[in-house]
Amino acid sequence: MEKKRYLLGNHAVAFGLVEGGLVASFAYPGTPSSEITEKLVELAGEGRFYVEWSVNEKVAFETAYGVALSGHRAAAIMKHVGLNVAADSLMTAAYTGVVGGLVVVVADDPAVHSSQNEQDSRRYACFAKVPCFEPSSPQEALEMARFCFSFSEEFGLPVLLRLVTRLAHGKSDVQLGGQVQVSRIKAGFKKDPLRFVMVPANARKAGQGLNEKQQLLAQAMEKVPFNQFQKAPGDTLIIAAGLGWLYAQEVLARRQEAWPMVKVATYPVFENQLKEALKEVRRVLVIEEGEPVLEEMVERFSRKVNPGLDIHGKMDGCLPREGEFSVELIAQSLDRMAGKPPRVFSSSPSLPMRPPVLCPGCPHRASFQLLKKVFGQSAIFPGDIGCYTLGINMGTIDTCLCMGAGISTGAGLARMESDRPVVAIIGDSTFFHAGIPALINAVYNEANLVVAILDNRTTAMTGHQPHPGTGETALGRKSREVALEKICQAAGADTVVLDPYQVKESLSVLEEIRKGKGVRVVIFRRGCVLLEKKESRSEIVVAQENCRGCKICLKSGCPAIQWLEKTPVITQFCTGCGLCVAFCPHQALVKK
Amino acid sequence: MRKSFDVVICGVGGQGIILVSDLLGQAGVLAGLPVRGTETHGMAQRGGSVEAHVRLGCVFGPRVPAAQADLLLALEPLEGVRYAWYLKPGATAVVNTAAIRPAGLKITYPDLKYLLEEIRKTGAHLLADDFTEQAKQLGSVKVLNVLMAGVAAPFLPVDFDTIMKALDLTVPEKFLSLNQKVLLWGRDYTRARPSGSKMAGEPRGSHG
Repeated sequence: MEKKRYLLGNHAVAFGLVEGGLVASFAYPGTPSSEITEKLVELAGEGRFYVEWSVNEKVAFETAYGVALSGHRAAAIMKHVGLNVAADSLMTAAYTGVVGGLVVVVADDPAVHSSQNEQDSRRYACFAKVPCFEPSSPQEALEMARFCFSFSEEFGLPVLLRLVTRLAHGKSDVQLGGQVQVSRIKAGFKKDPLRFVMVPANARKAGQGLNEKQQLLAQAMEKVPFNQFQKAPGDTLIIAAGLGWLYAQEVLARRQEAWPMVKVATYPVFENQLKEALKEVRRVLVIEEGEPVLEEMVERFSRKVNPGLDIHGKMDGCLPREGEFSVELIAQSLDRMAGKPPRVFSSSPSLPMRPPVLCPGCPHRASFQLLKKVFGQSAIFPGDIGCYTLGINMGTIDTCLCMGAGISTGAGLARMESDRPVVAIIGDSTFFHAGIPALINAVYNEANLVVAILDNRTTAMTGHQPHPGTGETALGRKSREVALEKICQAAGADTVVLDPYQVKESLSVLEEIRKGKGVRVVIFRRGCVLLEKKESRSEIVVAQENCRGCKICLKSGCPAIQWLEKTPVITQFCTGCGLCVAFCPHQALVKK
Repeated sequence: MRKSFDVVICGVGGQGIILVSDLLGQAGVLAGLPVRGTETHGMAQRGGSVEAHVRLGCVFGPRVPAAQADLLLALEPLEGVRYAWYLKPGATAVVNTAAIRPAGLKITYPDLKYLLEEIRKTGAHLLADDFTEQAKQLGSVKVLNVLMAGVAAPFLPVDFDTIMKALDLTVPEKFLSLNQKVLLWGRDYTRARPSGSKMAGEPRGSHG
């Protein structure tokens, strides 16, 4: 047997997909899901299976769906908000169903560590009427990922595998070495328009078929290996999902108590057994991260089998509605239920915050300083999703909604704020993801705004994944490079390409652009500093005699500049980008 | 129930916290222990406050509960205070005193004495030094993380040799010898502390 390894939850999922007989995988990067695909790239080796970074989640899902229609096993991997993008396809893919197994891995982000919201993907599973599995440990994540393919094929439905951040980025000793499964489905696309062409007549039938499958799914869930009962004396039942199961186990172990417990790991839930368990108790505590999905079900079931049941969870405030759980929170909820004042845990004293910042030498900082200088205080900067969202600290990101929203939000703002410049900020990868339709719409409908594409030649925030503009694929093959400027020109927008480190030239070009009308695209092209070669970096020194203490150099928020009494100090983090040199009005910063 | 040995590692994004968490976790697995842990990926890695947990001998969840950590490994003093609430009384806090000031016009960085005192208040035994300077002298600031893992090594329920083996699995080969050097340096630093010093949380055993 293989030795145990210390694995990231996401890596365990990747191994599970491979052991499940994965043939092709498609994803758009997004925290906390990106490491699954990165691991798959590593494991793909000599063409064992295909791995792709797709342009967005909808495309990723649909391509995976295509693979599944040809009878092969496919995965589509994304973060929770990515499922919004793919939702249109998912809803109807549930109608047509799939042939080969299709697993949609979705990583939710309770506590919003690195996202815009904390939506619960289990709601999507209920909404689309597809099965959903939720692991509570990396080992279980591996086993579920492996299991999901055959389950998907058995019911002919896409299957969701829901992770949360602490599982995706949690770690554990994991046992590998399960036999790689082989699908029994005969490969090859078989034409079946009644099933695969969702015109109304077919869709009506398919919808009925999907509803009929629900009962069968619920029955199947009574037998899958992941749900768990833990019998113990007591009149209070704990129903827990995901990590909540482990937190509760830890609290009880520490208190040396044993309560009856149920782990719910699959949806639709195993209704019969759950109802039986509800009959036997007086009280229930439901522990689940995200929405009160289970709690609502328990309430519904109890009306039939135990109307007087006392139900605690998120809806009565026993556990917090938002955020993620911890051992402390579960301990407090048990105290609250027992009518005891919950134990309060100490926290840190009030300290200066350390929010994430753009790296020293980040070209986005240069682009922001240029835009601020040319477009001035009154300008509005609708933003987007990426490292550059950190421009919030420089006053150059005024909105952030979802992928691609900056350009369209900007078009709306520009229509109403005609006396203020509107400069939409978007990154290269985000532009490919969802910015293109918004740009075309803005040109076509004669919006009056500037679109700044901060092209750092990578998908930086999520760990430097390639995209169509880099001309390289996930598997490292050279591909055809899609040029941003050609797309923008073809859409009919006036387009210029600037190097944000050429400050003088950029300022004069931007000045002309400011005076213009219509949709004007500026592409700031300069590679991410984390990927740049480090040899050729110049040194920045402070010419003390010139410094007048104006602190303009600090305004860029560069972490390599610190203030010591009366003058700036350049620290070891400096990359020598020279931006501070260009913006210092007194020549107090000099490139050596 | 035997309690797990819980470690919280913290510092600033970019200091190599994930690598240390990986190193300790791998070492635990090599030693045959069940291990759980959690890391910060994504946005906070851009110079933000970063924490990682490693629970050696743990079969539960990935997060260390409040006031349960046996060891805090702080690669930056302000971050050490931010996560000091994880420490249980009598635990050990290994703290680097080299400050990294948060960027921003209006931020005043607290006095180092105050910061160390805040950590001491938890009842933990403090082992504080300018480990950044040491790392520099031994070859590179980049190996601060592994150097501090070495300082912490004698407190862990895992043999030093096993940690050394785990280093092979964690660090790219071309940096291995420097990392081995600083890991050893760190261990010897702790071992060489005068006996009868105020460290009641004595290093475990004297072997390897």
